[in-house]
Amino acid sequence: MDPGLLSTMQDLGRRGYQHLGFSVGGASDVRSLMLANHLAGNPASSAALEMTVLGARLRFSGSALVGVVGVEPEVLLDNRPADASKTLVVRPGAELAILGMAGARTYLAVRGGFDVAPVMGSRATDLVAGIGGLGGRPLERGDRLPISTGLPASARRRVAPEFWLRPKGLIHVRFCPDRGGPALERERSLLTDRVWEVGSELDRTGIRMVGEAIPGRRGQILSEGHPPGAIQLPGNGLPIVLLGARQTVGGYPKLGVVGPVGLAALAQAMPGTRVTFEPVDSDEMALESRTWLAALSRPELCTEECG
Amino acid sequence: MTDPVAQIVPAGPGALYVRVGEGMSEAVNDEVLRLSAAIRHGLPVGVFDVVPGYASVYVEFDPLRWSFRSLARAIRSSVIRFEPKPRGRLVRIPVQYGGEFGPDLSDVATRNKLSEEEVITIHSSCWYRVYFLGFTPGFAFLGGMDPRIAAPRLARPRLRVPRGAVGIAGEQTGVYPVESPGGWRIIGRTMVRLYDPRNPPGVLLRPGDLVRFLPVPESSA
Repeated sequence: MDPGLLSTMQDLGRRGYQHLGFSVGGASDVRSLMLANHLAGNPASSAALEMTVLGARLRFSGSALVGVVGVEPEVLLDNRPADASKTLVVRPGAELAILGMAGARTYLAVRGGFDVAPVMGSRATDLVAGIGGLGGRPLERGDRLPISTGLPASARRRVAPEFWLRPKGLIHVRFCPDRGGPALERERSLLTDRVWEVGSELDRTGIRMVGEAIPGRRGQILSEGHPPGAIQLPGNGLPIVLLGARQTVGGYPKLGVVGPVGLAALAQAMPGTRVTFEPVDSDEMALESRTWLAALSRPELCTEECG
Repeated sequence: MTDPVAQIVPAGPGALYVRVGEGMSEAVNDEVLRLSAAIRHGLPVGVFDVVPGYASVYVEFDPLRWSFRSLARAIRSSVIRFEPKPRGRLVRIPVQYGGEFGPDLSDVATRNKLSEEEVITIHSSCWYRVYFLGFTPGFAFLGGMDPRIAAPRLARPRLRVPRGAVGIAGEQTGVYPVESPGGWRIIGRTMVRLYDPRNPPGVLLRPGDLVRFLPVPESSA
Protein backbone atom coordinates (compact mmCIF):
# COMPACT_ATOMS: atom_id res chain seq x y z
CA MET A 1 0.00 0.00 0.00
CA ASP A 2 2.80 2.42 0.84
CA PRO A 3 6.30 1.37 -0.13
CA GLY A 4 8.20 3.68 2.21
CA LEU A 5 11.27 5.71 1.24
CA LEU A 6 13.55 2.97 -0.12
CA SER A 7 12.34 -0.57 0.46
CA THR A 8 14.08 -3.46 -1.25
CA MET A 9 14.07 -7.22 -0.82
CA GLN A 10 17.39 -8.31 0.68
CA ASP A 11 18.95 -11.45 2.05
CA LEU A 12 22.60 -11.96 3.03
CA GLY A 13 23.70 -11.01 -0.49
CA ARG A 14 24.72 -12.48 -3.83
CA ARG A 15 27.98 -14.35 -3.42
CA GLY A 16 30.26 -15.85 -6.02
CA TYR A 17 30.00 -13.24 -8.78
CA GLN A 18 32.13 -10.31 -7.62
CA HIS A 19 34.78 -11.33 -10.18
CA LEU A 20 32.21 -10.50 -12.91
CA GLY A 21 31.43 -7.12 -11.36
CA PHE A 22 28.27 -8.00 -9.37
CA SER A 23 28.07 -6.38 -5.92
CA VAL A 24 27.24 -8.70 -3.06
CA GLY A 25 24.58 -6.33 -1.73
CA GLY A 26 22.19 -7.81 0.79
CA ALA A 27 21.03 -6.38 4.09
CA SER A 28 23.05 -3.40 5.30
CA ASP A 29 22.39 -4.51 8.90
CA VAL A 30 22.74 -8.28 8.88
CA ARG A 31 21.99 -8.50 12.58
CA SER A 32 18.46 -7.10 12.22
CA LEU A 33 17.81 -9.25 9.14
CA MET A 34 18.73 -12.43 10.97
CA LEU A 35 16.75 -11.49 14.10
CA ALA A 36 13.66 -10.70 11.98
CA ASN A 37 13.99 -14.10 10.33
CA HIS A 38 14.20 -15.88 13.68
CA LEU A 39 11.03 -14.14 14.87
CA ALA A 40 9.33 -15.29 11.65
CA GLY A 41 10.58 -18.85 12.06
CA ASN A 42 12.75 -18.65 8.92
CA PRO A 43 16.34 -19.70 8.24
CA ALA A 44 18.53 -16.76 9.28
CA SER A 45 19.55 -15.99 5.69
CA SER A 46 16.05 -15.77 4.15
CA ALA A 47 15.06 -12.72 2.15
CA ALA A 48 13.23 -9.96 4.00
CA LEU A 49 12.09 -6.47 3.15
CA GLU A 50 14.67 -3.81 4.06
CA MET A 51 12.98 -0.45 4.76
CA THR A 52 15.04 2.75 4.98
CA VAL A 53 14.04 5.49 7.43
CA LEU A 54 10.38 5.54 6.41
CA GLY A 55 8.60 2.22 6.72
CA ALA A 56 6.05 0.54 4.49
CA ARG A 57 2.36 -0.15 4.91
CA LEU A 58 1.22 -3.58 3.73
CA ARG A 59 -2.05 -5.49 3.58
CA PHE A 60 -1.88 -9.26 3.98
CA SER A 61 -4.31 -11.36 1.94
CA GLY A 62 -3.61 -14.46 4.02
CA SER A 63 -2.48 -15.16 7.55
CA ALA A 64 1.21 -14.82 8.34
CA LEU A 65 3.81 -14.93 11.08
CA VAL A 66 5.96 -11.81 10.81
CA GLY A 67 9.15 -10.49 12.36
CA VAL A 68 9.90 -6.76 12.28
CA VAL A 69 13.34 -5.78 13.62
CA GLY A 70 15.22 -2.49 13.56
CA VAL A 71 15.85 0.15 16.20
CA GLU A 72 12.59 0.65 18.10
CA PRO A 73 10.34 0.54 15.03
CA GLU A 74 6.84 1.84 15.60
CA VAL A 75 4.50 -0.86 14.32
CA LEU A 76 0.72 -0.79 13.94
CA LEU A 77 -1.27 -3.95 13.26
CA ASP A 78 -4.78 -3.03 12.14
CA ASN A 79 -4.15 0.45 13.51
CA ARG A 80 -3.28 -0.82 17.00
CA PRO A 81 0.29 -0.62 18.40
CA ALA A 82 2.05 -3.97 18.16
CA ASP A 83 5.02 -5.22 20.18
CA ALA A 84 7.79 -5.56 17.58
CA SER A 85 10.12 -7.33 19.98
CA LYS A 86 8.11 -10.50 19.33
CA THR A 87 6.70 -12.55 16.46
CA LEU A 88 3.58 -10.83 15.08
CA VAL A 89 0.56 -12.97 14.21
CA VAL A 90 -1.17 -11.40 11.21
CA ARG A 91 -4.69 -12.48 10.18
CA PRO A 92 -6.01 -12.47 6.60
CA GLY A 93 -6.92 -8.96 5.45
CA ALA A 94 -4.91 -7.30 8.21
CA GLU A 95 -2.89 -4.16 7.64
CA LEU A 96 0.64 -3.86 9.00
CA ALA A 97 2.26 -0.43 9.08
CA ILE A 98 5.80 0.50 10.09
CA LEU A 99 5.40 4.16 10.96
CA GLY A 100 8.77 5.26 12.15
CA MET A 101 12.09 3.92 13.34
CA ALA A 102 14.84 5.25 15.56
CA GLY A 103 17.45 3.58 13.32
CA ALA A 104 18.12 3.85 9.61
CA ARG A 105 16.93 0.40 8.53
CA THR A 106 14.12 -1.95 9.59
CA TYR A 107 13.63 -5.50 8.32
CA LEU A 108 10.31 -7.28 7.79
CA ALA A 109 10.42 -11.07 7.47
CA VAL A 110 7.49 -13.40 6.82
CA ARG A 111 7.32 -17.11 7.74
CA GLY A 112 8.05 -19.08 4.58
CA GLY A 113 9.88 -16.25 2.88
CA PHE A 114 9.10 -14.41 -0.33
CA ASP A 115 8.14 -16.54 -3.30
CA VAL A 116 10.29 -14.89 -5.94
CA ALA A 117 12.85 -16.79 -7.97
CA PRO A 118 16.43 -16.29 -6.83
CA VAL A 119 18.79 -14.81 -9.42
CA MET A 120 22.33 -16.17 -9.36
CA GLY A 121 21.65 -17.83 -6.03
CA SER A 122 20.18 -14.87 -4.15
CA ARG A 123 16.97 -12.85 -3.72
CA ALA A 124 18.94 -9.70 -2.88
CA THR A 125 18.02 -6.68 -5.01
CA ASP A 126 20.91 -5.26 -7.05
CA LEU A 127 19.82 -1.83 -8.25
CA VAL A 128 22.88 -1.38 -10.52
CA ALA A 129 22.65 -4.78 -12.19
CA GLY A 130 18.86 -4.57 -12.31
CA ILE A 131 18.33 -8.07 -10.94
CA GLY A 132 16.98 -9.78 -7.85
CA GLY A 133 14.07 -9.24 -5.47
CA LEU A 134 11.24 -7.50 -7.31
CA GLY A 135 12.92 -7.46 -10.73
CA GLY A 136 15.91 -5.47 -9.56
CA ARG A 137 13.98 -2.42 -8.33
CA PRO A 138 12.63 -1.00 -5.07
CA LEU A 139 9.12 -1.71 -3.77
CA GLU A 140 6.43 0.42 -5.42
CA ARG A 141 2.86 1.26 -4.54
CA GLY A 142 0.53 -1.50 -5.73
CA ASP A 143 3.20 -4.23 -5.69
CA ARG A 144 2.12 -7.68 -4.59
CA LEU A 145 4.73 -9.58 -2.57
CA PRO A 146 4.08 -13.32 -2.96
CA ILE A 147 4.76 -15.34 0.16
CA SER A 148 5.49 -19.06 0.33
CA THR A 149 2.75 -20.62 2.39
CA GLY A 150 1.93 -24.11 3.55
CA LEU A 151 4.58 -24.34 6.27
CA PRO A 152 3.48 -25.42 9.75
CA ALA A 153 3.32 -22.58 12.25
CA SER A 154 6.54 -21.97 14.16
CA ALA A 155 6.78 -21.03 17.83
CA ARG A 156 6.46 -17.36 18.64
CA ARG A 157 9.78 -15.85 19.65
CA ARG A 158 11.12 -12.69 21.22
CA VAL A 159 14.51 -10.98 20.69
CA ALA A 160 16.79 -11.76 23.66
CA PRO A 161 17.53 -8.67 25.77
CA GLU A 162 21.27 -8.66 25.01
CA PHE A 163 20.48 -8.38 21.27
CA TRP A 164 18.12 -5.44 21.66
CA LEU A 165 19.06 -2.39 19.64
CA ARG A 166 18.70 1.05 21.22
CA PRO A 167 19.25 4.40 19.55
CA LYS A 168 22.55 5.98 20.48
CA GLY A 169 23.91 9.48 19.98
CA LEU A 170 27.53 8.25 20.06
CA ILE A 171 28.86 4.89 18.91
CA HIS A 172 32.34 3.39 19.17
CA VAL A 173 33.21 1.30 16.15
CA ARG A 174 35.99 -1.27 16.26
CA PHE A 175 38.18 -1.77 13.21
CA CYS A 176 41.31 -3.67 12.14
CA PRO A 177 44.03 -1.34 10.84
CA ASP A 178 45.14 -2.18 7.32
CA ARG A 179 48.68 -3.59 7.39
CA GLY A 180 49.20 -4.63 3.80
CA GLY A 181 48.81 -1.38 1.91
CA PRO A 182 50.64 1.96 1.85
CA ALA A 183 51.79 3.30 5.23
CA LEU A 184 49.04 5.60 6.45
CA GLU A 185 49.91 5.81 10.13
CA ARG A 186 49.35 9.54 10.38
CA GLU A 187 46.02 9.33 8.64
CA ARG A 188 44.99 6.44 10.87
CA SER A 189 45.82 8.44 14.02
CA LEU A 190 43.66 11.28 12.80
CA LEU A 191 40.84 8.83 12.11
CA THR A 192 40.97 7.49 15.66
CA ASP A 193 41.58 10.85 17.36
CA ARG A 194 38.62 12.62 15.83
CA VAL A 195 34.89 12.33 16.45
CA TRP A 196 32.96 11.90 13.22
CA GLU A 197 29.29 12.17 12.31
CA VAL A 198 27.25 9.94 10.04
CA GLY A 199 26.43 11.80 6.84
CA SER A 200 22.94 12.25 5.48
CA GLU A 201 23.23 10.26 2.25
CA LEU A 202 21.78 6.91 3.48
CA ASP A 203 23.41 5.15 0.55
CA ARG A 204 23.52 1.35 0.41
CA THR A 205 27.07 1.42 -0.98
CA GLY A 206 28.68 3.04 2.03
CA ILE A 207 28.40 5.30 5.05
CA ARG A 208 29.94 8.69 4.48
CA MET A 209 31.54 10.28 7.51
CA VAL A 210 31.41 14.01 8.14
CA GLY A 211 33.98 15.91 10.17
CA GLU A 212 37.36 17.57 9.95
CA ALA A 213 38.93 16.24 6.76
CA ILE A 214 42.11 14.18 7.02
CA PRO A 215 44.72 16.23 5.14
CA GLY A 216 47.47 15.00 2.85
CA ARG A 217 48.09 14.35 -0.81
CA ARG A 218 47.42 10.71 -1.46
CA GLY A 219 47.27 9.07 -4.83
CA GLN A 220 44.98 6.28 -5.76
CA ILE A 221 45.95 2.68 -5.26
CA LEU A 222 45.71 0.06 -7.99
CA SER A 223 42.08 -1.08 -8.14
CA GLU A 224 41.34 -4.19 -6.12
CA GLY A 225 38.49 -5.94 -4.33
CA HIS A 226 37.51 -4.77 -0.86
CA PRO A 227 35.41 -6.06 2.06
CA PRO A 228 32.29 -4.65 3.67
CA GLY A 229 33.53 -2.45 6.52
CA ALA A 230 36.55 -1.20 4.56
CA ILE A 231 37.34 2.41 5.57
CA GLN A 232 38.17 4.23 2.34
CA LEU A 233 40.00 7.55 2.32
CA PRO A 234 39.12 9.52 -0.81
CA GLY A 235 40.87 12.70 -1.91
CA ASN A 236 38.59 14.99 0.11
CA GLY A 237 39.79 13.40 3.37
CA LEU A 238 36.35 12.29 4.56
CA PRO A 239 36.25 8.54 5.25
CA ILE A 240 33.66 6.23 3.74
CA VAL A 241 32.83 2.89 5.41
CA LEU A 242 31.76 0.41 2.75
CA LEU A 243 28.54 -1.62 2.96
CA GLY A 244 27.32 -4.72 1.12
CA ALA A 245 26.26 -2.85 -2.03
CA ARG A 246 29.77 -1.36 -2.57
CA GLN A 247 31.29 -1.61 -6.05
CA THR A 248 33.34 -4.75 -6.43
CA VAL A 249 36.68 -2.97 -6.79
CA GLY A 250 38.03 0.39 -5.65
CA GLY A 251 41.07 2.57 -6.06
CA TYR A 252 41.02 4.62 -2.85
CA PRO A 253 43.53 3.92 -0.07
CA LYS A 254 42.07 2.05 2.91
CA LEU A 255 42.75 2.73 6.58
CA GLY A 256 41.35 -0.55 7.85
CA VAL A 257 38.24 -2.69 8.08
CA VAL A 258 35.33 -2.23 10.50
CA GLY A 259 34.19 -5.60 11.84
CA PRO A 260 30.64 -6.91 11.33
CA VAL A 261 29.51 -5.86 14.84
CA GLY A 262 30.51 -2.23 14.26
CA LEU A 263 29.24 -2.25 10.70
CA ALA A 264 25.75 -3.36 11.77
CA ALA A 265 25.70 -0.54 14.34
CA LEU A 266 26.88 1.99 11.76
CA ALA A 267 24.25 0.81 9.28
CA GLN A 268 21.59 1.70 11.86
CA ALA A 269 23.09 5.06 12.85
CA MET A 270 20.91 7.94 11.76
CA PRO A 271 22.55 10.99 10.11
CA GLY A 272 24.26 13.11 12.74
CA THR A 273 25.14 10.19 15.04
CA ARG A 274 28.62 10.74 16.43
CA VAL A 275 31.17 8.00 15.79
CA THR A 276 34.65 7.15 17.03
CA PHE A 277 36.88 4.46 15.54
CA GLU A 278 38.88 2.13 17.80
CA PRO A 279 41.67 -0.10 16.49
CA VAL A 280 41.80 -3.73 17.55
CA ASP A 281 44.08 -6.48 16.37
CA SER A 282 43.07 -9.10 13.84
CA ASP A 283 42.82 -12.01 16.26
CA GLU A 284 40.61 -10.15 18.72
CA MET A 285 38.40 -8.95 15.86
CA ALA A 286 38.12 -12.45 14.43
CA LEU A 287 37.09 -13.93 17.79
CA GLU A 288 34.51 -11.22 18.50
CA SER A 289 33.06 -11.49 15.00
CA ARG A 290 32.80 -15.27 14.98
CA THR A 291 31.11 -15.36 18.38
CA TRP A 292 28.60 -12.73 17.29
CA LEU A 293 27.85 -14.32 13.90
CA ALA A 294 27.50 -17.78 15.43
CA ALA A 295 24.97 -16.47 17.97
CA LEU A 296 22.94 -14.68 15.29
CA SER A 297 22.88 -17.79 13.11
CA ARG A 298 20.92 -19.82 15.68
CA PRO A 299 17.50 -18.76 16.98
CA GLU A 300 18.05 -20.31 20.40
CA LEU A 301 21.16 -18.14 20.96
CA CYS A 302 19.65 -14.74 20.18
CA THR A 303 15.91 -15.15 20.72
CA GLU A 304 13.64 -16.82 23.28
CA GLU A 305 10.38 -18.64 22.85
CA CYS A 306 7.40 -16.79 24.21
CA GLY A 307 3.68 -17.32 24.42
CA MET B 1 59.99 -23.48 -7.88
CA THR B 2 60.01 -20.36 -5.73
CA ASP B 3 56.97 -19.52 -3.61
CA PRO B 4 54.91 -17.43 -6.03
CA VAL B 5 52.87 -15.79 -3.35
CA ALA B 6 54.41 -12.50 -2.34
CA GLN B 7 52.28 -11.70 0.67
CA ILE B 8 48.96 -12.82 2.16
CA VAL B 9 47.36 -10.31 4.54
CA PRO B 10 44.02 -10.29 6.41
CA ALA B 11 41.36 -7.67 5.66
CA GLY B 12 38.95 -7.95 8.57
CA PRO B 13 37.57 -11.26 9.84
CA GLY B 14 36.11 -12.48 6.54
CA ALA B 15 38.56 -11.44 3.82
CA LEU B 16 42.21 -11.45 2.79
CA TYR B 17 44.48 -10.24 0.02
CA VAL B 18 47.08 -12.25 -1.86
CA ARG B 19 49.42 -9.51 -3.03
CA VAL B 20 51.40 -10.10 -6.19
CA GLY B 21 54.19 -7.79 -7.26
CA GLU B 22 53.85 -4.11 -8.01
CA GLY B 23 52.26 -2.14 -10.79
CA MET B 24 50.17 -2.83 -13.83
CA SER B 25 51.73 -5.25 -16.27
CA GLU B 26 50.89 -8.35 -18.26
CA ALA B 27 53.37 -10.40 -16.24
CA VAL B 28 51.74 -9.41 -12.94
CA ASN B 29 48.29 -10.00 -14.45
CA ASP B 30 49.37 -13.47 -15.62
CA GLU B 31 50.23 -14.33 -12.04
CA VAL B 32 47.07 -12.71 -10.62
CA LEU B 33 44.90 -14.75 -12.97
CA ARG B 34 46.82 -17.95 -12.28
CA LEU B 35 46.41 -17.48 -8.52
CA SER B 36 42.70 -16.62 -8.90
CA ALA B 37 42.12 -19.79 -10.86
CA ALA B 38 44.12 -21.86 -8.39
CA ILE B 39 42.26 -20.53 -5.35
CA ARG B 40 38.88 -20.91 -7.01
CA HIS B 41 39.73 -24.44 -8.07
CA GLY B 42 41.22 -25.76 -4.84
CA LEU B 43 39.06 -24.32 -2.05
CA PRO B 44 35.34 -24.23 -2.74
CA VAL B 45 33.62 -24.67 0.62
CA GLY B 46 33.32 -21.53 2.71
CA VAL B 47 35.14 -19.36 0.14
CA PHE B 48 32.59 -16.90 -1.19
CA ASP B 49 34.43 -14.83 -3.79
CA VAL B 50 37.81 -14.68 -5.51
CA VAL B 51 38.33 -11.27 -7.13
CA PRO B 52 41.38 -10.42 -9.24
CA GLY B 53 42.66 -6.84 -9.22
CA TYR B 54 45.64 -5.23 -10.91
CA ALA B 55 48.20 -6.65 -8.50
CA SER B 56 46.27 -8.71 -5.97
CA VAL B 57 43.67 -11.38 -5.52
CA TYR B 58 40.99 -10.47 -2.98
CA VAL B 59 39.31 -13.44 -1.28
CA GLU B 60 36.11 -13.29 0.79
CA PHE B 61 35.25 -16.22 3.04
CA ASP B 62 32.93 -17.41 5.78
CA PRO B 63 34.63 -16.55 9.11
CA LEU B 64 32.69 -19.39 10.75
CA ARG B 65 34.46 -21.91 8.50
CA TRP B 66 37.92 -20.42 8.01
CA SER B 67 40.37 -18.46 10.09
CA PHE B 68 42.83 -16.21 8.27
CA ARG B 69 45.75 -18.48 9.14
CA SER B 70 44.12 -21.73 8.04
CA LEU B 71 42.95 -20.25 4.74
CA ALA B 72 46.32 -18.62 4.01
CA ARG B 73 47.97 -22.00 4.59
CA ALA B 74 45.51 -23.75 2.31
CA ILE B 75 46.01 -21.12 -0.39
CA ARG B 76 49.80 -21.49 -0.32
CA SER B 77 49.61 -25.23 -0.78
CA SER B 78 46.93 -25.18 -3.49
CA VAL B 79 48.74 -22.50 -5.47
CA ILE B 80 52.10 -24.24 -5.68
CA ARG B 81 50.66 -27.28 -7.46
CA PHE B 82 48.48 -25.35 -9.91
CA GLU B 83 49.18 -25.23 -13.65
CA PRO B 84 48.70 -21.94 -15.55
CA LYS B 85 45.36 -21.59 -17.34
CA PRO B 86 45.20 -21.59 -21.14
CA ARG B 87 44.76 -18.18 -22.81
CA GLY B 88 41.36 -16.50 -23.09
CA ARG B 89 39.32 -15.80 -26.22
CA LEU B 90 39.75 -13.21 -28.94
CA VAL B 91 36.76 -10.86 -28.89
CA ARG B 92 36.06 -8.22 -31.52
CA ILE B 93 33.79 -5.36 -30.52
CA PRO B 94 32.33 -3.17 -33.30
CA VAL B 95 32.31 0.53 -32.40
CA GLN B 96 30.75 3.56 -34.03
CA TYR B 97 33.34 6.24 -33.41
CA GLY B 98 32.76 9.97 -33.21
CA GLY B 99 29.77 12.07 -34.17
CA GLU B 100 26.85 11.79 -31.77
CA PHE B 101 28.35 8.59 -30.35
CA GLY B 102 31.73 10.08 -29.51
CA PRO B 103 31.22 13.61 -28.18
CA ASP B 104 34.75 13.78 -26.77
CA LEU B 105 36.62 12.35 -29.78
CA SER B 106 37.70 15.70 -31.15
CA ASP B 107 38.84 16.76 -27.70
CA VAL B 108 41.03 13.65 -27.33
CA ALA B 109 42.46 14.33 -30.79
CA THR B 110 43.24 17.99 -30.09
CA ARG B 111 44.87 17.28 -26.73
CA ASN B 112 47.21 14.80 -28.38
CA LYS B 113 47.82 16.82 -31.57
CA LEU B 114 46.29 14.10 -33.71
CA SER B 115 43.42 13.99 -36.17
CA GLU B 116 40.23 12.19 -35.20
CA GLU B 117 41.03 9.50 -37.79
CA GLU B 118 44.43 8.94 -36.19
CA VAL B 119 42.85 8.53 -32.75
CA ILE B 120 40.41 5.97 -34.15
CA THR B 121 43.21 4.09 -35.93
CA ILE B 122 45.39 3.98 -32.81
CA HIS B 123 42.49 2.96 -30.53
CA SER B 124 41.42 0.14 -32.86
CA SER B 125 44.85 -1.19 -33.83
CA CYS B 126 45.74 -3.41 -30.92
CA TRP B 127 44.49 -6.26 -28.78
CA TYR B 128 43.65 -5.18 -25.24
CA ARG B 129 43.94 -7.70 -22.45
CA VAL B 130 41.07 -7.96 -19.98
CA TYR B 131 42.93 -7.62 -16.69
CA PHE B 132 39.86 -8.20 -14.54
CA LEU B 133 36.20 -7.23 -14.25
CA GLY B 134 34.67 -4.96 -11.65
CA PHE B 135 33.01 -1.64 -10.79
CA THR B 136 29.75 -2.67 -12.51
CA PRO B 137 28.68 -6.06 -13.91
CA GLY B 138 30.61 -6.70 -17.10
CA PHE B 139 32.98 -3.73 -16.86
CA ALA B 140 36.41 -4.80 -18.11
CA PHE B 141 39.64 -3.16 -16.93
CA LEU B 142 41.62 -3.25 -20.18
CA GLY B 143 45.38 -3.08 -20.43
CA GLY B 144 47.53 -1.99 -23.33
CA MET B 145 46.12 1.32 -24.49
CA ASP B 146 48.57 3.41 -26.49
CA PRO B 147 49.58 6.44 -24.39
CA ARG B 148 49.48 8.61 -27.53
CA ILE B 149 45.69 8.84 -27.12
CA ALA B 150 45.59 9.31 -23.37
CA ALA B 151 43.30 12.03 -22.01
CA PRO B 152 42.31 12.99 -18.47
CA ARG B 153 38.84 12.43 -17.07
CA LEU B 154 36.31 15.24 -17.44
CA ALA B 155 36.58 17.79 -14.64
CA ARG B 156 32.82 17.41 -14.14
CA PRO B 157 31.52 13.90 -14.75
CA ARG B 158 28.39 13.45 -16.85
CA LEU B 159 25.28 12.46 -14.93
CA ARG B 160 24.45 9.81 -17.50
CA VAL B 161 26.80 7.98 -19.78
CA PRO B 162 24.88 5.63 -22.08
CA ARG B 163 25.26 1.88 -22.07
CA GLY B 164 27.88 0.80 -24.59
CA ALA B 165 29.85 4.04 -24.43
CA VAL B 166 33.55 3.58 -25.24
CA GLY B 167 35.77 5.94 -23.31
CA ILE B 168 39.24 7.00 -22.26
CA ALA B 169 40.29 8.04 -18.77
CA GLY B 170 43.97 8.78 -18.29
CA GLU B 171 45.88 5.94 -19.91
CA GLN B 172 42.98 3.51 -19.66
CA THR B 173 40.20 2.67 -22.07
CA GLY B 174 36.96 0.85 -21.38
CA VAL B 175 33.31 0.32 -22.25
CA TYR B 176 30.35 1.18 -19.96
CA PRO B 177 28.17 -1.97 -19.74
CA VAL B 178 25.29 -0.15 -18.03
CA GLU B 179 24.19 3.44 -18.08
CA SER B 180 25.83 5.23 -15.17
CA PRO B 181 27.34 8.58 -14.20
CA GLY B 182 30.92 8.92 -15.37
CA GLY B 183 33.86 11.12 -16.14
CA TRP B 184 35.46 9.20 -18.98
CA ARG B 185 35.93 10.93 -22.33
CA ILE B 186 33.55 9.20 -24.70
CA ILE B 187 34.90 8.50 -28.19
CA GLY B 188 32.36 6.01 -29.51
CA ARG B 189 29.62 3.51 -28.76
CA THR B 190 29.06 -0.20 -29.26
CA MET B 191 25.75 -1.98 -29.54
CA VAL B 192 27.31 -5.18 -28.20
CA ARG B 193 25.96 -5.97 -24.75
CA LEU B 194 28.81 -6.43 -22.31
CA TYR B 195 26.15 -7.10 -19.67
CA ASP B 196 22.72 -8.51 -20.40
CA PRO B 197 20.49 -8.90 -17.31
CA ARG B 198 17.95 -10.95 -19.28
CA ASN B 199 20.28 -13.96 -19.11
CA PRO B 200 22.03 -13.98 -15.71
CA PRO B 201 24.91 -13.58 -15.20
CA GLY B 202 24.97 -12.26 -18.79
CA VAL B 203 28.56 -11.01 -18.73
CA LEU B 204 30.36 -11.22 -22.07
CA LEU B 205 34.03 -10.88 -21.15
CA ARG B 206 36.35 -12.79 -18.81
CA PRO B 207 39.74 -11.94 -17.40
CA GLY B 208 42.41 -13.06 -19.83
CA ASP B 209 40.28 -12.41 -22.94
CA LEU B 210 41.83 -10.23 -25.65
CA VAL B 211 39.58 -7.48 -27.00
CA ARG B 212 39.90 -5.51 -30.23
CA PHE B 213 37.70 -2.62 -31.33
CA LEU B 214 36.45 -2.55 -34.93
CA PRO B 215 35.46 0.81 -36.42
CA VAL B 216 32.02 0.56 -37.98
CA PRO B 217 31.02 3.08 -40.64
CA GLU B 218 27.98 5.14 -39.58
CA SER B 219 26.01 4.30 -42.69
CA SER B 220 25.79 0.63 -41.78
CA ALA B 221 24.26 1.31 -38.31
